[in-house]
Amino acid sequence: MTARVDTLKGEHDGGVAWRSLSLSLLVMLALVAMLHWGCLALISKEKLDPYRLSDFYPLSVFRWRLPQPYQLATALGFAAWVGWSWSRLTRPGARLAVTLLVGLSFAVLSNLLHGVRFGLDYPTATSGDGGIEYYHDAIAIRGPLWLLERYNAVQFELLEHTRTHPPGPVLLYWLLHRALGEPALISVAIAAIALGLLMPYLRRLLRLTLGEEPPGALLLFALLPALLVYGLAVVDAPIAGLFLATVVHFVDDRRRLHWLWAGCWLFSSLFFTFAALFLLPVLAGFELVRRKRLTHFVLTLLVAALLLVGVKLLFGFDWLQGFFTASAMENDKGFLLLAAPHFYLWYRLGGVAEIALFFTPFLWLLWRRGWALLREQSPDAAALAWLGPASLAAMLLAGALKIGEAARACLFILPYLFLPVAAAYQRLPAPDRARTAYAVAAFGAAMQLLGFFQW
Amino acid sequence: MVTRACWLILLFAGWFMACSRAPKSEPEALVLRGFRVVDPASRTVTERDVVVQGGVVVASATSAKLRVVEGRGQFLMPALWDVKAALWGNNSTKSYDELSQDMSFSRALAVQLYYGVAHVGVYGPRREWIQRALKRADALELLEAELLYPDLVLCAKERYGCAAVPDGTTLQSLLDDRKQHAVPFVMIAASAAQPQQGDVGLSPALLAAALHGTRERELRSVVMVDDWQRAAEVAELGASAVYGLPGGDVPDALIEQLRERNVAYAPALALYLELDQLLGNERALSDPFLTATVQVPVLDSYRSERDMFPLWREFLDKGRARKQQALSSVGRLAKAGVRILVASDACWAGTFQGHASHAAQLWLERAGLDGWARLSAATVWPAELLGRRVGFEPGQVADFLAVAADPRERAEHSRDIRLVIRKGKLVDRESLLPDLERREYR
Repeated sequence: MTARVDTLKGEHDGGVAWRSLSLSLLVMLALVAMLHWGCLALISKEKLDPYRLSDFYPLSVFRWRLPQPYQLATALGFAAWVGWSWSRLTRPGARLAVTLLVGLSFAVLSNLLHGVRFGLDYPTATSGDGGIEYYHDAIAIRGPLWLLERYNAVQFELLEHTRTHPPGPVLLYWLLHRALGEPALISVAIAAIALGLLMPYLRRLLRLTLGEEPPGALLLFALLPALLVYGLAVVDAPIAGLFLATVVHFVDDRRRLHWLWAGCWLFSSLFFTFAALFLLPVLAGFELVRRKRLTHFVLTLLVAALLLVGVKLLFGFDWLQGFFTASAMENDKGFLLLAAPHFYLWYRLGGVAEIALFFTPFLWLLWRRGWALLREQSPDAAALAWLGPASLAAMLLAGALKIGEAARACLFILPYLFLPVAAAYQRLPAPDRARTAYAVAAFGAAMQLLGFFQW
Repeated sequence: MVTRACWLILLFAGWFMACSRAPKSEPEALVLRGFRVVDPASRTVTERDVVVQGGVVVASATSAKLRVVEGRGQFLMPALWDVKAALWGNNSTKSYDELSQDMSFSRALAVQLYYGVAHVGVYGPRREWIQRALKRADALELLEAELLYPDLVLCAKERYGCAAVPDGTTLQSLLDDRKQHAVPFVMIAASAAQPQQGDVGLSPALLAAALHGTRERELRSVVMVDDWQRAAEVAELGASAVYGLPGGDVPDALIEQLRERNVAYAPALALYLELDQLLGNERALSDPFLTATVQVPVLDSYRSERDMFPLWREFLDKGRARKQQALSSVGRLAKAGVRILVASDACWAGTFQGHASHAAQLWLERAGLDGWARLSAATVWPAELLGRRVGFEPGQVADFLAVAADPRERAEHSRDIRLVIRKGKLVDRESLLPDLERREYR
């Protein structure tokens, strides 16, 4: 690890006043409004959203609603809990396990703004018998070995979400269903697994790159609307944790055989999503740019490939075949740009807008400030901070993420976006840190109060 | 510490999954002992053992693995058939956009099986959806009712559930397509003798061509009619069955014609009459046989006629107007020896998945059908329409239903289901129940 680890404690590089926060909010709302009206001026709502999944482009799955009194009361409870826990957990020496539990409580509380049924149960079980989620396949399969053995044969016949993923997600839901039974508990467990992976590895990455974890940075991360809204709803949240673990092990080359661990995590990522291919340009790019070699990348890839071959030999699941089947299903009309240019354009733009919105305007403000600091402080982190978005941009350009479900499917991009934020955040005085965190929490709660994001 | 904990959890998960096995497969042979076997095909009730292996009845088991099921005097009968149902779930009296109990096709077929209905003719969906459901059930080895898909109904115009037939060329190509896909039967909508606005039935000329085409291709045909005059015409043209609930008394000549030409009749009794039977009927709405599978808000909507969806209202009014003559006509047809077929029209207002098949049997009983005719209408006659035989002879498919009391005596006795056997396997009925709590976010 060659990063500079001077933490520049005490330096004040411009605070975050309420005025800046308000301005950033207005700018983002204006941009979203421009995109919304601009899009609808050129393409009708019926054509843009034939499945009627959303009330407001660029949000891909969204229903407006007027908050009920009990929801406002829950929001107040959420705000009080954020305020109370922030003041205690941003002190030096806060334990990771406690931070993790509090982060989980944020996700649970913010989802309870929809009530237990639609906040916790619905994200997993949706409408019950008519649902198309992993859970619905998980309760139908005869067992994990049964599925692994037949996955390639039955992939086409699985439901919409399962069939475009390797068996990992459905097996995870199967396991949680067997262990916990209740869909609401499964949702909480999904968030717990996601945060259980994301927070320790994010802390390790921050320590690695910034020298220390800025006080409250992990809590701020747990308050991101993307995690509050989707953290317990989608398997992409634990997948984001797997991705981050892969990257951290790969980047942390102070440890012996780090590539072996990175390979194992890469295998896990590939077992959960075909989109784990996103990691390959990141890992290869990082090693080329920062280490001027590709040896460890090749070793990492080899470990993951060997494990996938092992799975095929032992259990019968052929990852490559599954990938090509999923790809054929996703692109049944060919390359999206040529097959449906309008959809291609508006869903790409919508995807980017969704990611931006769920990251909040306030953190974009810090992101902008943090770039220069990050380059100066940790070239490794700076490399990751552009490699992640670049790899995602390549995926988007290739036509992935058709329905514009970017905010949920791209949870894995959050750590990369968070690195410049953390660099800027590190230099903020405590009151400004708190102010930013409260603004982010309020933004997330407002999103949950005014809309419903699941399907 | 947290990372270590994650590793431990992952290791535990791996171990748990590796140790898990698929559920044990059913024993290879079932011996159904001590049942009273009710066979509508031979119209006999006998006390004997029935041995099932490989999904069919056998003279004696060759497998060493036997599982004996004691009947203790219960009545074993063939599982039920339903020639027409939609599989979207259960409707309320409100618009389906406002309040309904949504189900996947698989779940609807599972619920049908819960009620002992093992073969369901499906109305409405497009072929690709049905094929997907069939392949999924096959791939995941789901235990559910058999789906009999006649493809879209041949109609004059495009509408839900219809394939538009504007001319003879289109008709021939659609019939070829159905032949190629080996549909169990072809459904055809006939225009009324005095067509009204919105009538999507085929004109007499196209109807004649359609029935000629089905005969030429050796396809069975079920024609949807709304008056007895058209029923007589399609019987003359060689239809295999007519479906509907025409108003007025059935003419004697038509009864004779249907009997002579061996044309079956599938009366839409549940479609037109069951809604009226349920509305405000506390006893029916709180019947555990119904509440086991229908969500409470959906049932609640049946407690009054207020805010009823106009489409349901139309059928309610027609049903009220036609009820007496329709029941009398069905009774006369059955008495004359015309084969009656159960059509539940499940998924309409008042007709719930599986339950509606039993409701249809109750209506047949009210129409005066005797026990054997009623049971035949729900079992052997629909099978015959498709050229199949059901019963307890060696080689016949082991789709059975055991009930506590003699189903010939009262239609209600068919509701006291003790066990269901599908493809020779004992069905865990509890696992077929639908989700009674969850609904779509609206």
